Amino acid sequence: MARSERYMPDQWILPALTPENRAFFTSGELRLQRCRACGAVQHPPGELCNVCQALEFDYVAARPEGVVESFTIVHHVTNPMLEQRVPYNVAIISLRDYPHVRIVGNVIDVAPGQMRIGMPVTCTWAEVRREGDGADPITIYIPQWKHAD
Amino acid sequence: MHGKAAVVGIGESKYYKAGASPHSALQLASIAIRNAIDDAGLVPADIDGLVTFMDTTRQHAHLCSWLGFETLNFAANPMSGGGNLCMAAINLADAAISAGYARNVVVYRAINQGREGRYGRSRGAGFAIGEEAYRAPFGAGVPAIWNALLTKRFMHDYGISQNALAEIALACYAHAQRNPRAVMHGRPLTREAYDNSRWISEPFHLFDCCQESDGACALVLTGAERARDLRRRPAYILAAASGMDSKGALWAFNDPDFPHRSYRKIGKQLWERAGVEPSDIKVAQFYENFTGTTLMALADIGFCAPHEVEGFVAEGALRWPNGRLPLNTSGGNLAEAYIHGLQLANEAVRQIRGDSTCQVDGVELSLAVGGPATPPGSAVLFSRNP
Repeated sequence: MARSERYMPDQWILPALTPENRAFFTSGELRLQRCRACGAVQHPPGELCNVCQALEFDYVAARPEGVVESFTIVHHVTNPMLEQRVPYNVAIISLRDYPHVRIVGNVIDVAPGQMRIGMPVTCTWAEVRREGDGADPITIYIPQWKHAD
Repeated sequence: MHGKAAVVGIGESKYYKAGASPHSALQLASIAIRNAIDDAGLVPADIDGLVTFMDTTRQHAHLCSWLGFETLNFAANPMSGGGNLCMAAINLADAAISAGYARNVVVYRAINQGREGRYGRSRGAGFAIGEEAYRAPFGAGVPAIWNALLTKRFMHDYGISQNALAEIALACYAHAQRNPRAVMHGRPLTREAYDNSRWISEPFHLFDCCQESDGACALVLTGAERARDLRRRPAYILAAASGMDSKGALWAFNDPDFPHRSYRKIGKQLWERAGVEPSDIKVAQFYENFTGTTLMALADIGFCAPHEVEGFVAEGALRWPNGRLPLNTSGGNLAEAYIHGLQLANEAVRQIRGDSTCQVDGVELSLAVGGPATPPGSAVLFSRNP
């Protein structure tokens, strides 16, 4: 797993873990939910298959490669914690292995003016120790993207 | 053709910038509802139905008791989303009246972002649940960012420039200058000021984003037979539509229709039910939380193909009095007030009555369309004739 510093501030909001999203956020891989009955891969992971409504899943790791499908440069400070972070980008990225799966993330090494739709990107992970919500401490791996040459 | 129910009363509170209202949302609701009932020439005891949307704070049971209704025969709150449901609330009231479940139904929305939280602010620390777990940790915690992501791709796919977004903002602000209710009355917008305004989330400038407001508005609906005997010219509901395509709720994550939203389906149903075409429409109110996604809705509901939308809105085409389709003639969410879009329905009714501050001549049909970026979408087509 390629590591990177977290793009958002250290104390910035984290995902609440659920049985469905634990694989995606704690594995350090792009582990996607796959229906055991029909094989459909869906994201975000859910409680039932959106194709055949089956209830049993396993999780398949996609290669850490994707393409920027859309992006925005955020300038507005929507929370005081972001005052030093703006301007930052948010991108929608489709996965090479599963083009119908698009995930939201940040491209961490590209200047605002250089962001492009169609840009190839590779995934890295920021390691964040998650504690303080009453649950056992656990390491969260936040997927973050870099421009692929 | 439908025309079984009609809007016979409209009302609103004063509209405020978020935080400026001296009244709570409940107080604002009571003002708007009383004004709408007065406008209809009815009394609270005549009301027996209540519909709002995206509001679980003010319970229908309490409102019935507090507002002096004699009985409550129908109460509903359509689910899934926010401003996308504003015309669905009217659709539900229409359904209740048409089916005979209620006689006189109030549809209202009250909002006090100053006290209950501004929609443009995101949570910082802590943990995000549900779908937010996949957006908020990446700094995508507010609707401006979600809509910007959809709009950027839409512009890329169809060769749309910033000019198209600006046209919507300029139309709304121009119309608000004639409307004393509008929060932005007396604050005209030039193209230069639009271009020089700060970015919120590219491609949205400040003026591409709706206001944050405190205020309330309400409509009274009744059956077409009773409507004729009341004091206001009825705005008959010729057709309403609300809904979505199968996978629309999967957003950009997994929606095969990305970046489009629900309005192709809404348009198809609305025009079929009404027996008219988009080209028959001379004035329209379109929910603009953000200009870009409103462009998508304009195209998807049937006014033009997506790649034609920049030409469709160009050179003041949306501006009263000379544009081909005056849009948001009271100033809309951008420049009148953001009452979650329901105030657009009040304005659509004014266009039927003939008393808008940007009145279009000879209005027979008046269109009001709900929010574009979150399914299910909704729309109502009012008619001067039953």
